[in-house]
Amino acid sequence: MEKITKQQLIDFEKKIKEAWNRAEIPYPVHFSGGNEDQLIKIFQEIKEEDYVFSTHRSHYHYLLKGGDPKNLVDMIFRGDSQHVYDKTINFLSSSIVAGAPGIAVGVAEAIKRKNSKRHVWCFLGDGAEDQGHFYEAVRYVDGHDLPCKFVIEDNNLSIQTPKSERYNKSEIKWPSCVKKYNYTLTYPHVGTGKWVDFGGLKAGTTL
Amino acid sequence: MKYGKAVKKSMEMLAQDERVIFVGYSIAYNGKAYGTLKDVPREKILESPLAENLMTGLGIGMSLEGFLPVVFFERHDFLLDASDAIVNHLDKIESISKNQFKTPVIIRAVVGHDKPLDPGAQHLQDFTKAFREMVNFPIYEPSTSKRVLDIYKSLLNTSGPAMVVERKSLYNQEI
Repeated sequence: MEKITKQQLIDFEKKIKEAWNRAEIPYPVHFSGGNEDQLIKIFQEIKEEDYVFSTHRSHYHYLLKGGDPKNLVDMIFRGDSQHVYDKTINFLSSSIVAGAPGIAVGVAEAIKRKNSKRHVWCFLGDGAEDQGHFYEAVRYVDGHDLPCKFVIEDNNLSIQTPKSERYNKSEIKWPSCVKKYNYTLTYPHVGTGKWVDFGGLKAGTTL
Repeated sequence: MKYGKAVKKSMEMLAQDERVIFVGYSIAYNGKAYGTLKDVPREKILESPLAENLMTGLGIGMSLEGFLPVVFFERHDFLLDASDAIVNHLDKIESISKNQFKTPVIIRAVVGHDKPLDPGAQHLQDFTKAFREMVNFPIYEPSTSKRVLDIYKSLLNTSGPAMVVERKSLYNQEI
């Protein structure tokens, strides 16, 4: 399978952005941007048969897992940008912050019991890192050596709140099943940075 | 047959199915889910930390890989910590995935009893009506031993989630 490139990722989001700005997608869309290099590197380790659990910001994960861009466009236009699912590539997501980690653990427990070589990869933002449900999941994977990795995509924002306002200087040292990378999101939390008129009601956020 | 015995018999019936795994905390130890898992083989039990949302997530995730998890809550009060997993995920994954992923998980939810010891306000609540408002999957409330046996038997064929509300106050009754 041909790997998707950095430029193709950026261009995909740009096209969706233009359509959203033309009010063609009357649904919340969380755009990815600024983390192309980090994700391309991480996805080199993720095998076709592995599971990926994504978040509300799922477009890059889906494309890098080998998802069909046309299928993703269909999902986005029908309002499923924040719940992208594709069984053909073992791809699931949740738009609840820290909603997926516990479920990812269950899949990992099952595939370990089956002596399968597959892995589970669960992506989350640093907002979800703040959540107790994530802590439960990490401890279980760490303690039971489950084939599951958590990837924290740290943009220093929980929705729009920086870390200094949240747990301030507290940093948790996670076990080895947790990876983390830092980046600066090139889009706002949701929308494109432009206020768009959707049938008389405006939606959007500013950068 | 006493209601509690019917529940125990149902668990032993479920345990014969290779897909079934019992998930919960303190269910392999003293108490054994009010004695209902006493004669279920240890390898059919996944003893979990006391972390209800994780415990339910374990059930959901295992169901995605072909297991039929039976997740045990000894009191409704403790369901609330798992309500994100139950309401936002267990109940929604099939519909938001456009039927690609199915999550057959049986939630056993026991309503506490005030006898012989009265545990008070945080151990006796009954959230059956509230969960009926919050989820779309079936919630069963068997009130006789026969219904207990019938419901658990039928759930062997479930393709999606279900909750069974058991009442501790009925466990010792011949009904």
